[in-house]
This record gives sequence, structure tokens and C-alpha cells, in this order.
Amino acid sequence: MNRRDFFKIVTASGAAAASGGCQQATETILPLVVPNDQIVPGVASWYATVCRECPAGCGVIARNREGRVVKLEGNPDHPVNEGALCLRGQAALQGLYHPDRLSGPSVREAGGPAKPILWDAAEKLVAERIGALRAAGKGRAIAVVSQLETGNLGALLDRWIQALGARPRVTLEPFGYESIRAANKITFNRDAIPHYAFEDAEVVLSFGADFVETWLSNVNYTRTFTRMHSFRDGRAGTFIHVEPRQSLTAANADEWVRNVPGTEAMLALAILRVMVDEGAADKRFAEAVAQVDLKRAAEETGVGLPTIKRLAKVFAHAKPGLAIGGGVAVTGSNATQTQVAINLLNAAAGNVGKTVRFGPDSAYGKVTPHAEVAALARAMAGGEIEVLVLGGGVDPVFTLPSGLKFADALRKVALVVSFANLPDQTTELAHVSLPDTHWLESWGDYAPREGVLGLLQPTMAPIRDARPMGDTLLRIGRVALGAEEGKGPLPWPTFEQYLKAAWEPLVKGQLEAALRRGGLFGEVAPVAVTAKVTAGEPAPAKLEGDAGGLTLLAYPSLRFYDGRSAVSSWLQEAPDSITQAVWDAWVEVPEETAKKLGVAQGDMLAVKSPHGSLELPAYISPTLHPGTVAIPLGHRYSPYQRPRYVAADLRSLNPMALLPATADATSGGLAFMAVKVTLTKLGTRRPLAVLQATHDQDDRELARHVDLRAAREQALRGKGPAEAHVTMYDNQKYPGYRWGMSIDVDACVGCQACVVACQAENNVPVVGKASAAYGRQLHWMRLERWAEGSAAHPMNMFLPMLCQHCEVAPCEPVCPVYAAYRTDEGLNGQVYNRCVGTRYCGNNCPYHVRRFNWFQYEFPAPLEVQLNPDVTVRQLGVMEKCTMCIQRIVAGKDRARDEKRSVRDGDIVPACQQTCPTKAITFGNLKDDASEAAKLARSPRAYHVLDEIGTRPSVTYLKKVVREHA
Amino acid sequence: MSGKAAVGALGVVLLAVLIFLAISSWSRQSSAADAKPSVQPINFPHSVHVGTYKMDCQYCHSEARRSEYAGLPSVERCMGCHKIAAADKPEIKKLAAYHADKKPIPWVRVNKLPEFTYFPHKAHIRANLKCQTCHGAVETMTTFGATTGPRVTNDLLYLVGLKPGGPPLSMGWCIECHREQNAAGKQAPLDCVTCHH
Repeated sequence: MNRRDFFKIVTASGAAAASGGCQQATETILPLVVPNDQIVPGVASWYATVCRECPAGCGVIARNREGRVVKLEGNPDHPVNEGALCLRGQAALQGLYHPDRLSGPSVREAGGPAKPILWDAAEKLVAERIGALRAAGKGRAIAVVSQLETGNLGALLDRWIQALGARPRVTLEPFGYESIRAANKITFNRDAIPHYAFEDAEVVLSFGADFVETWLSNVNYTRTFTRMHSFRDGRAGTFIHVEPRQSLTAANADEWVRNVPGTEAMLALAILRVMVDEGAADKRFAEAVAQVDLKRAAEETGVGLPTIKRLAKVFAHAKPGLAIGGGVAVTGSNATQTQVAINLLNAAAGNVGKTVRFGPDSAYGKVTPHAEVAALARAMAGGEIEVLVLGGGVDPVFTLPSGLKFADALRKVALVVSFANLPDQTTELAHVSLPDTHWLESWGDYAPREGVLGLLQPTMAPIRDARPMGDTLLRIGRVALGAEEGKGPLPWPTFEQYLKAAWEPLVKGQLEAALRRGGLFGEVAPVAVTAKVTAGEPAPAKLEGDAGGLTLLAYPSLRFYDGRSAVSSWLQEAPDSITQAVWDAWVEVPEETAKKLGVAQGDMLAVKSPHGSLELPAYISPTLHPGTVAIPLGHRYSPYQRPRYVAADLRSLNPMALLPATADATSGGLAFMAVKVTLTKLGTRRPLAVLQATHDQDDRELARHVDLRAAREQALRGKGPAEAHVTMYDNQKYPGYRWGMSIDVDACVGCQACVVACQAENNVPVVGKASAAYGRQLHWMRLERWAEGSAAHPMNMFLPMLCQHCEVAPCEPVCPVYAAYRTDEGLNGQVYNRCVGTRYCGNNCPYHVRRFNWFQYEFPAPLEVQLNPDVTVRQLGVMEKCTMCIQRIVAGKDRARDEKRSVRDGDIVPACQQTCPTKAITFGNLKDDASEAAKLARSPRAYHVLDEIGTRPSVTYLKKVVREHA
Repeated sequence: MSGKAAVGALGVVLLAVLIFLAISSWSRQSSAADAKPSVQPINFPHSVHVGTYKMDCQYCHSEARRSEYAGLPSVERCMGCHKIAAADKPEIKKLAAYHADKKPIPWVRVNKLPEFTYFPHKAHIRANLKCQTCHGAVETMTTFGATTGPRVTNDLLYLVGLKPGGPPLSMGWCIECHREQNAAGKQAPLDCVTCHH
């Protein structure tokens, strides 16, 4: 080809391309056939329901746009969470729109792959087997396992079981808190888990109860804890936490006491002994502590006599105090003893009835004790079970200890029916899969505590071919019984009809109002109890394995609970607040041990127990108790995440593989702390993606603190006059509003809920482990943890860091295309369609909050359905950052103009503020002196991060208040 | 003329065509929201509904006052009149067939703003803006967008600086109007992030 021909072809094809490029793809727009008065295209509808990601049962309102849910928020009317939501609740949408969601019913021959089947055929298959067993009088060979269902689904399951003569239902919750119940039975003669009124306590003394993370009801207790603890609310109570590991809860304590694992009972009784000796407790408690030798206790707990005495003094003087315990990580063979000792502490200090309230008892009291789960496993292994029905939310192969050999037992069952709607380790062994609808697509109800009944309603139509478990079971039951619809013990055509019939006496015709509110919320009269004093011989927890080994602390993860939330990529990429690691699991090794083994962070270690072994990268911890190692529970990946986000390494991350089937003899609860393990260096590396390089501020004073006394003084008299800002610029004029934010570092507990809420609201993509390790994560908001003080007694501060919307913004003058600019309302705007991706702004931002789209990030189907239609999905080569939820500001102003008024304080709530369990974040108009944000910005505790560089941020932080004795 | 010269002339012509197409496509880009005539599943004449019968735009596009989108009438709403009115006409029979099958009518989209632009109809209706300000003289259109859209003649007119057909719905045009409104004492936002977020 010569040069001319080349030009001819290029010009012709160029012309063709140019003319072709003018044609936009034809797009159709479909009107509704019949108008739906609940759907206005472009306007969101909200539906109240109940979060079922864990048994806490928080109220949720789901934002539905054009028929699909795009965002979840806490229901402000629900008494459990009062509008807040934790990160797992926020990320429930990732389960709803999960790319791996089962597309319909399937059957699997032993060892073969799952084959799709029609619903009728699948139901018939199960019904015939069940019917045959019932006809043969072998109903006891049918077993049903469900997650905690305190509402009508549980009642229906029990009816179904009764009608078919099956075994009593097993409610499987891996974290069952059996020891609290057993101890309450012993001390208070009441087999229940009470409600703990944190907000009324002056001192909270926690023995390993990780209430900021997973303990019983994390959002409720975090919120009420803040009320007693945060300086803002005028209480400034004291929080002391006893645990061998610095958990997130421990990091929030005024005093973290690092004890020898398994010695909590001894410590509690030693404290009681001091109280009795010093006359701070009634003489009748002397009986309980007669055998306690303080010196020995100090030695064995590793706490030290002066500390024990101080704790006793602080706790005894609280009016009232609150002692709690029972965190999963420290649940050993002596768990009930520990709880009894805690009960005695509460009784001796006069807290029972005040901060420990029986009556509004927790739903956890209805969990089947682990001992009965173990009995079922034994029956299965013995061939007694022929049909096993597994409800959604349970994954026993993953969540039960390997010592129980549940997978082997499951293989002995002739027919395993699973209702899970996502594949997991248990569904891999199931024969028939009948996917249940997601809770956001379902009818139902759930009572998280006595007096509170949350109602579930479908917030959208099912996205996959799934059917409600209740419907499927009703049909199967009728076929098995040979009964017709409307007759027999299971006459209801659908679960919805069963529910509505059951609700009618409660709602008395006011169903719509109850659904709108989110449930039926009442108060339950408190039940008075008297404490029985029992003498305890405090013994440390029994540990299996190599006596010279390290005690294994397998602790529940704030992000994944028992593993059921691990399917969410948002949660995998939300950093663990303490380690700041994303995606992978790790084994936390104390510094001393790491030195001895010669391991650095990211070195692979083999962790061995008599029951199994695990290979995990090391995380070197300066704070972990020497003589222990810690591994988070619940880490697993779903199929679509490999190799998209993490390497295709199929090694297990689950520490349950190391645990024996040891139970606490009294309560029947599983002992999570039951084994000593040995570590071996493997010589290979799997570096962790840790998003914060250091926790040492190095005098930069990013997160600041003030003594409680000084804070009180300043609150009373005001702070001395602040130095006037020297500037050569004119002050910016704000003709209308000036948006700003105040963040209370004293209230923030570092729970990451805001990070995930922001991701959900603003279409922030997931980047995966390799990119995150490279610093290419796209979170608009991050939670920095800064530690001061010694390694054994650190003081942690959590600093939510987001775009500071500086008045003199370093990002703006360096942008060559004016994509970054200052708005008239005090925001730093970022115009995506102008941005050409020079990244100068990101490099010039001292707060490091600008994020760059290094790739064209995907939202694997059907996750793209979740995208917020009010926010642009950014493309490759574009810079992005926090907008203070500009779409909500625009909507708020629009609403105000509809009502012919200006925006009022509280009209506009950004996603981070909305979900915050501690109300640490306040957004508002800084020009309005009466707005909450402006008031907080004037507080004596107020400061700006890096104020010395003169950026004049619109985000004001409030210093953490440090208790003197800590 | 030699063969070489012919090829050269052809090349020049092609280059000219290319430049014209590039500019015209660029000019279209700047008015990407322009109405584009398309073959619709039902030949719907706005001129009859708006022009002859003087129906209010929001009778059919009823979402405009409360939503970002103006919305389309449900098939049921069309049938509200057409069960009786003009029921014997062939185009109405097509409508009746969609209604009988309970199927939505697959209308072809005519107006579309770029996806990084947020345009709420609601705020503009609240400001008493007439639909025709942006959408052109709808009451005269037998096929919506046919006279205002990016056709070659319109492109040529644009090139020489004339403004044929309807408004270009370009950003400059929006801003111009907002400035005029502000000068008249109204509050029309000029902040980039109001529409681009």
C-alpha cells in the first residue's frame, strides 16, 4: 500500500466513523400500564422494615427508587436503634443485589453439581420424602435448623414441625450468650438476658463484652453508651474494659485493663472482695468471696493489686454502675462462673433493677444452647436424621467448630434442604436448594426484645426467582400431610396471610400505620429479682492443646458478625478499625512472640491446634497480651470476589477450624476460648492491605484531646481568646447558606458505619485488595485511629476524615480546568465532566481525601441496580471526593422552596450523619448561629485539623475528653 | 485532469466532509439534548393533543410538577379518553392492543441530557416556566422533535451562526436563562454542582 492509498482509506473510514458516531443508540422509555400510586418515577418511596443481618433487629427504612431499593437508613421510630444503623446494616444491600444470589431452585446428586429444577418438582421431591417418613412414623428423623426467629416465622416453623411430628426446632446462633442466661438462672432465678441501661450508668465495667462491635445489640448499646460517656451530653461517665486483646470496644475505654485470658471471673470476684472488705458492699456478699485470695488473684489475672483496688473503688462509688461480660472472644469453659461473678458485682453495687433490667429481655434468650446443636450433630452422625431443613442465615459448616465435625455429620443425612439464597459452605453439601427471598423482599416480624415487635414488609419485588420460606414450607407441609389448601393444620395459602391473621389482634385494623411506623413498640414492666449469693471457686478457663502454646482468641468481627455479612464487598473493603486492614484475615501476634519467631507483618504463619490448622498472614500487635494470639471470626469470600478483588487463594480464613467442641458445662454454650495453638513460620509472605501506615501522630495533633477537668473548666468559663487568623485574603462572602460540619472526636467510637453509608449513598466503587494495598481505595471518608501513650495502656482517638471543604483550598488553584472550585455555599465543588485527571488537586490536598479513578470500575450485575440515581457514576480518569452529599443538599433546598421557606436546621442530613450510632457528626448552616453545627463549632473543644497551614476548613472537630485517672 | 489530481481532489473533498461532520457532530454534542425525530411505535401527534384540543401538558406528563422527570402517561391514562375518542383509527387500535396485552408502549426517547447532568423538571414548573421554553413549539409538532432536531439543514444553519428550530438545551443556553432570571430578581442557581453531582 502506498502513502496515498493509506490516506484514502484513513479519510474514508474516518468519515464513516465520524458520521456513525453521531447516531446515539436508540433508547426506549416505558410507561406503566396501570399507574401505581405508590411510585412516582424520580421520587423515592420509603418502606419501613427490620434489619435481619444479626439478631439485634434494628429498624430500617428502605429508600425505593423506581421499584428498586437503593439505600437503607435506620428507622428513627424504632426503639432499638433510633435511626442509626451499623455498617452491616448499611451493607445489607450488597446481599440483596449479590452477583452470586441463587437464580432459582436446584437439586444436587451426591458429589455432583447443582442442577436447576422447577419449583413444583423440587417441592414435591422434599414433600414426598417427608410424607413417607411421617407415614412410617419416623417424624423424628426430620430436623429443622433456623436462625433466631422470635416472630411468626418461628411460630409457623414450630407448627409445621408439630404437624409433621419432627424434632423440636434448633435455633442456631453461633453467638448465643448461653452463659449469661445460665448465670441469671443461678443468681436471679431467671433464664433470660436482661436489657442493660447503659445511659443510666455512671461507670461501665465490662469484662470482654464487645458492645461496640457485636455484643447483643451493638447499635443500641453504642448509642446508649455514648449518652453516659460522651462529654457533650454532660455526663462524662467512666468506662473500664477488661480484655486480653485491644478490641474496638477496649480502644474506646477510659481504662483498658489487659488481663490473662480466662481470668475474668477471678478478677470480678477480687473486685467484689475489695468492695466487701472496704464496706462498699453488703456483708452478705462476703460468703461469695470468702475463698478469694487477693494476692493470688492479682498474680493470676496479671492485673495487679493496686489496679484491682482502684477498679473496686471506682465501681463501688458509681450511682449506679453497670458490670457486663460475655464477649465471645473470652467465652471459655468457665463462662457461667464469670457471669455469676459479674451478677454478684451488679447485685452488690445495687445496679440490679437500675441498669440491669429484667422484663424487656433480649431475644437472645431464645437461642437453642450450643449443647443441643451438638446433640443434633451427633444424631446426624449416628444416622438418626434423614431430612435436615436449613433456614436462611445459618451456615453451620462454617460457623461451628471443626471439633464438632458437622460437615461429616451432614454427609450422613439423606436429604439436606437449604433455604439459603446465597451459596456458602453448607449449601455446597445440600441436596435441594429452595432459595428464600431476601429479608428486604419479605414479609415477617421480629421481636429483638420483649415489648418491641418490628414488622417486616417487602421493600421491593424479588430480584431473583426466590420464594418466601414460609410459603414453600406451607406447600411442602400440605403435600406431605395430604391436605388441601384451607384445611388441616397448615391451611394458609401463603405466609403473608398467616402473618396478617396473626397481626390482626395486635394492630386492630391499623396495619398500615403499624407498617409505616415499622412495628409495635411498647414498654414492658420491669421484673424485680433478688440475688442469691453463691460461693464461687474461681478457676481459670480450661484450655486444650500444647501447654506451652499460645491461647487462641477467636473474636467476632464487627464487619462480618459470624460470617453471614462477609459476602459484602463494601464490608471487605471497610477497614478493620484497629488494624486498618482490608480484605484479608490475619493472625494477630504479640510483638514479643513475633520477635522470637522472627516474623514481620505479612509473613505467613501456620497456626496449629489439635483440631486443625490454618495458614494466615501475621499482624504484629504491640498491645495483645503476650501468651495469646487472636484471629477474627467470620472472614470468607463469596465466589464472585475471586479473583476479581482478591487472589484466587482457596485457603480457609476461618479460625473455627482450630476449635474443639468444648462447651461450658453449666450453660451448654460453646467455649470459643478453649485451645492453645502453636505458630510456625512458613517462610512465604502474603502482605496485608493496611490502609493506615502508622497510628503515631508524631506531634502533628490531627486528633486532639483535653483533660476532663480542663474541659469542664472551659465549658463553664469558655476558652481563652483564640488567636486571630492572619490572612492576606479577603474573607469569602456567603450570600445564602454556608454549609459546614462538626465532628465530635469524643463521641466517635470508630465503628465505620459512616464509611459504608457514604459508599452506599455516593456510588463509591470497590477496588479490591491489590489496589487498596497500593493506596487506590476510593472511600470518600475514612476513619483514622491515632494512639498515644504506652503500648500496654494506649489512648485511642478515632478521627473521621473527609473533605474539609476548606475556605482557602489548596486543591483549587492547582486545577488547570477549574474542575475544583469554591461554591457560594462554602463547599469545594468537583465537576466531574470538567475534570481531565491531572491529579494535581489530590497531590496538593494536605488531608489526602481526594480519590482518583485509576480504572473503569465495574459494578457486577445486579449490583448496578443499587446505584443512587441522584449521583453520577464516575469514570476512569476522574478525581472525586466528599461532596457533603450535595444531592441531599439540593433535595433539601428544593423541599424548602416547595414550602416557601429557607432550609431549617436538620432538614439536610448527609448519609454519614444519618447512620452514626453516636451522633458524632453534625451537618448544618454555619451562618445560622442557632444551628447545631454552628453551636458545636463555637465549643471550647473545637479545633481544625492542620489549622496551622491556614486552609480554614468548614469541618470543625471537637477534642476528645480524657478522664484524669486513665 | 490527471488521475493523480482526481485522487487529490477527492481527498480534499473527503477532508472537507470530514471536517464538516466533525464540526457538526461537535455542535450536536453541545446540544446533545436536542430533540431527535424517531420512528415511534405509535404515531402520536402532539399537534392534535396540544394544538387542537388545548390539553395541558401536565395532564399526560403529570410527574413534571413533583419529580425530576416529566414522566409519561400510563397506558391506562391514554385509554381513559381513547376507549371512546377516535377508537376506530388504526393508531388508536395499536394503543388498544398494548392495553389489552397489558404491555407498556416502547416509546423511543427523544430528549436526553447527558448522564452527568441533573435536571429537575419540578423546580422549573415551580418557577412557572412554560414547557415550550425548552421543548419548542410542541403544539405544532406532528412528530415530536422533527423540526427542532439535529438534521443536516439545522447543522448547516448552526454552522453559519443561525439558530434554527427549538432551543439547543446546551449548558450555555441554560446559564444564559438563569442569569436573565437572576437579573429579574428570581433565584436561579448558577452553581456547577447544582446540576453536576
